[in-house]
Amino acid sequence: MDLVRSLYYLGAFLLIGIGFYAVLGKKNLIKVIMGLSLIDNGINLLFIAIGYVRHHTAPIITSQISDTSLMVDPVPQALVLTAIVIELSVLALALALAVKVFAVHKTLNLNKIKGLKW
Amino acid sequence: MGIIKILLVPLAAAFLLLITGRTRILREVLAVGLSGLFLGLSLFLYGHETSFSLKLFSFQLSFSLNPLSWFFLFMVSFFTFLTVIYSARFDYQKNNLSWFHFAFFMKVFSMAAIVLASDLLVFFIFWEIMSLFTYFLMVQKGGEKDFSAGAKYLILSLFASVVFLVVLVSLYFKAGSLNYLDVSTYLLRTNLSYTVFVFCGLVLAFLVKSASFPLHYWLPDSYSNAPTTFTAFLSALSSRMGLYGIILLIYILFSGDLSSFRLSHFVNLRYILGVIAAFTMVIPTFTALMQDDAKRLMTWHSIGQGGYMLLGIAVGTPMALAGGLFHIINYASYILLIFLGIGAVEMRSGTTNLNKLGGLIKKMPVSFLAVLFGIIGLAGIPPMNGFVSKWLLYKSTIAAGFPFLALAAFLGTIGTILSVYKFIHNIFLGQLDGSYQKVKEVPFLMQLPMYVLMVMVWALGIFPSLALEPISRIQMFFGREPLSFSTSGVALSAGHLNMLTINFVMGAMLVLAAAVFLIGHRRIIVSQYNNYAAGHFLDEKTKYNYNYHFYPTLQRFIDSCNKEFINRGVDSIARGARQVSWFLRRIYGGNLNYYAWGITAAFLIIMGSLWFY
Amino acid sequence: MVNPLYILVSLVFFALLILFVQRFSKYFALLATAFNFYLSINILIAALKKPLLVNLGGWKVPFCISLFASPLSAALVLLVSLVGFCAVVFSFSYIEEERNRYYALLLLLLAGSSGVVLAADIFNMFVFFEILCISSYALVAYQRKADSFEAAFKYLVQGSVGSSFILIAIAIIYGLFGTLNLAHIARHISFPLTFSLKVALALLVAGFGVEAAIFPFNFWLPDAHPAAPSPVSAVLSGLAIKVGLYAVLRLIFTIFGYPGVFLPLLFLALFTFVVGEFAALAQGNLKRMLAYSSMGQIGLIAAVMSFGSVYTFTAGFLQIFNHALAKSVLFLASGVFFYQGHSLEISDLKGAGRKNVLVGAAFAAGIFSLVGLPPFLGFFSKLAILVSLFRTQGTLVLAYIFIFLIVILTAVEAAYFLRVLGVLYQKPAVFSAASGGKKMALMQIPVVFLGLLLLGLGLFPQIVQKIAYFAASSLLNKAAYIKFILG
Repeated sequence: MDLVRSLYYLGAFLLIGIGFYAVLGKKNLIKVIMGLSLIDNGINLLFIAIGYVRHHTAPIITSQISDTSLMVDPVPQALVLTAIVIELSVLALALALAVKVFAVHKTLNLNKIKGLKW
Repeated sequence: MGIIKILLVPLAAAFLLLITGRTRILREVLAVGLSGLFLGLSLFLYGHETSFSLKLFSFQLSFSLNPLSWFFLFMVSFFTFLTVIYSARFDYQKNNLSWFHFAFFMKVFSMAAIVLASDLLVFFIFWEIMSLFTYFLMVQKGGEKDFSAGAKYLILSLFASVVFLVVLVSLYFKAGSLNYLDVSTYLLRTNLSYTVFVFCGLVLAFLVKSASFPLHYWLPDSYSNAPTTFTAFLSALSSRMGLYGIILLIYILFSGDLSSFRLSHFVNLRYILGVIAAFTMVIPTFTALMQDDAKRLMTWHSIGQGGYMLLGIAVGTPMALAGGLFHIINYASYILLIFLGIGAVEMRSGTTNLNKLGGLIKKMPVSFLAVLFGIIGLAGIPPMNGFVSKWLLYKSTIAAGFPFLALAAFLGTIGTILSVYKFIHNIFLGQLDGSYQKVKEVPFLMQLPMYVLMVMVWALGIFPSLALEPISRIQMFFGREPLSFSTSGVALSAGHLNMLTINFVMGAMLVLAAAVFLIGHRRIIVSQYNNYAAGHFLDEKTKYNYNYHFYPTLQRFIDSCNKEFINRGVDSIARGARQVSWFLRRIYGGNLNYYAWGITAAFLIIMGSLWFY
Repeated sequence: MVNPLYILVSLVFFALLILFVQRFSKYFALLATAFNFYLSINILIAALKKPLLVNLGGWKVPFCISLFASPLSAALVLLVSLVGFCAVVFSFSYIEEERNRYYALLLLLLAGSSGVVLAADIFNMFVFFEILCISSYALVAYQRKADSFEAAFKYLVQGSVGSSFILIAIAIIYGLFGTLNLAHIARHISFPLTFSLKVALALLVAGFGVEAAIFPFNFWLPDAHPAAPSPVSAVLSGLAIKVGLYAVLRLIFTIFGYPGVFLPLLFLALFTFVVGEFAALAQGNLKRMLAYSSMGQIGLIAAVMSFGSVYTFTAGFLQIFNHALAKSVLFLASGVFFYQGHSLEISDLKGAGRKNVLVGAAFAAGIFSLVGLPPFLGFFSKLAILVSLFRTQGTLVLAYIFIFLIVILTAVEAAYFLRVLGVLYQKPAVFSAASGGKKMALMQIPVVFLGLLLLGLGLFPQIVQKIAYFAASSLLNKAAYIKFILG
């Protein structure tokens, strides 16, 4: 595996890791949501990196360019598009719920939002 | 074909009564008629040996009628009939009776199906259905106590059933089928530890149902909370289903020879069952002494007398087995009689509290006679039938070499006699309380079963051959030697028992005593309330009657011994379960970060296990 | 007509229709689910003879998106449509505000579940899974009370963590094999697994396990199921967790083709079983108790299934059917009680069973079926579980431990269920029945119907047994799966 790809993978996993750090360790609701967003971004980067082949170009077929052997793998890019949409809706819902949770509990501290337990 | 007809009758009765339950007359007529039909069919089937196999829904259901089945079937149908006649006039205080009757007949149906089954799976299915409907009958009154008592019963019963099911499944795989014959041939061939496992697994469910020590704790609460007619029925029959199961287990599945299953030199399964029977005979009969409620007292006797039956079955010699089986039907007859009497008293006086009742003999003479016959039978005093079965049991346990078990039986009888005397004294004898002046006897329809049972109790006492005949058929069916008997007694090398002679002797003595009493000393008839106490004025309101705290010395002695181990043990199990529950609940503490940690940690654990695995 | 695509299309179409045409939402939903039910029956009948494969867009396998209706998938789709139909009928009277969004979301939930079950490639499975999850996040928050928002938020965060695990796994798998088609992936996988495949498997089990509510993943369940409105709880408990479990099992046994017992899942599932059943004992809120009971049951099902033999799958599948129907009855009945009495504390329900005779009877039927009493379906599923456990070769010790746990936990289950049953029928009735009328009748119909179904299937279990057996063999048979899809 060449260095560039490994760098991308490393970056992707690093992003995912930072996202997990935020979800697992942070007490503020908004930070947890940001962590989720970071995780998703990291995963998207991972996908793109998987499809990347060095020195190859964008996978778009036009009337002039139709040689697919020099193109990057298009499937992960399609996957990423779908994944972005899904993550967007999840994030929007999460933020909406966070607004409502704040309206009820008047705090964003997860340690205090423990109405439901046991 | 006869089998299917006889099974369909109570099933049809159940559903018909569910539909027509609202109209009283229609309901009672249907109930009495159909149970009469049931009785008639079962009488008709005496002596037949048929079998029947049915592919219903998706299984192979096989039934067969053998002498043992017939014995229990007759008991079920006869006592159902009497109960239904009695309950036609019993005052249930406006509960929803269509559901009662439905549950009642479904239970009768499932009991009939159990005794007619010839396949362990069929047995199990109907056993479960019977437990379910017993629960429904117990919780009829609907109060909180009733539900907690019923729940105690059903939880224990379900636990035992699942164990039974596990044993069943394992048997299915080893023996190939669950037919009684196949199972018994398999069990003869296989090794000791497996047979002990099968025995323990199956006997657990039966011991629960027949309320043998130490699994008897559910019975007093649930039976005494039920309406009295159901208590009667449940005591007489329901607990005996467990005994049917044990008989089935020992004599059909295990081919009757328990003493060959030795766990050590002295300890074998037969003796263990005998010891359980001994504890069941002694402890509950003495606990019964201390009860203040008539129904509770008698339900403790349900437990206790079951011990006698278990003793007879466990010991297994011809006389013992005959005694045990005879005791089953005897007990059913006199306990039903006693409970019908209690029901009558309850209906008229409104209470069953022994400390409050008294002196009802003049007002309810028929009930008094019924209870009198019942307790003479229960205590095992001649000339009633209880005496014969107890005599058989005493003699056989001594003859078989189990003196301590016989001692336990004697002790049980002492406890029984003491408690039944308290029982009849506190209800019928003594001075009549003012509030009971208006009490009348119960309607004729309720008296009729009492008459029938009184005749039965005495007749079986004079002519025990009436019952010993079917019992010997059962013994021959098991391939064992039957007890030799004559028309009115038992003829043995070790001594004869001739009930006819005993009856004549007793009758003669009674006549003599009556003559002395009537002709002899002059006597003055005084009012019940005309009492004298030194320096003390007594009037109608102050009773000089001795009801409360009837056996003070004995009670003190028993109280010091009675640590209620079983109940406390069960309560601590329940509490332990709740504590585990509380502990496990707290895992779900509410902190989202911890939740997310849980997910990632679990992923790492799975990853780790895959790595090394 | 016998095309699995129509199920998904019809559900999504009606969902969108409801959102655009803001009226008659109830009727559209009813029409959609009824049509769905009819379709799923046809598909099941066809799939039992020969599995159905639909390639979308005319592209060839393995480059296209395909829908594969094996007997297992078809049976689960039938279950989804049945429970969905009952939930919609129940919601007719129960849901009074914001109907459009509710019905649209519910239809999308059903579409998502059906899609996960029918999908033949992994990313599509993920997309439908997300549709399922997102609709359920929103539906949990439907009632707009304090605990709804909190429960929905926590559910969302945990669900997202799970989904991200799944996505990482998809990335790994795609990176290794270059294909997304499940059969194609299955062809490439052989044992022993390489390290990255092990990571991928662990991620997939963890990810789908969040929705399947196996122990350390199920912290959302006791909060989310009670907070949702009752028909949604029924759908979540009855369907959503089963679908998650389906995904886990399909991946482990058909795609990865794991031979024999899958120990990690077995241990976690046993733990779930114990925790769920015990924790239900001490609950005072009816729906929370039912949620913990669902947890316990799904632990039981997952534990049975993870033994990896055809018999255990059949038994587990029977129990899936039993639990889905019984739990739906219980949740819908609790909805009826809530509608009348406005409280879900068990102590407030005294006498509720006497005021609502039919609902109480159905509730009792659901309880007895879950505990395993004849003549209900639950007896057969318990019997089948025990029989299958005795049949397992190898890992006998685990099977015996499991049997022991079943014995004890059945008693525990009986304890907490009988307590509720007792309260329902208690004599001094505290429960006040509010209005009756047409609304109540409409709410009672699905409850009673499902109760009768439990009784009927218990008396005639051959139908379900046959379906279960076919489903089980299709799950286990990796070679046939590959051969059928890829040719």
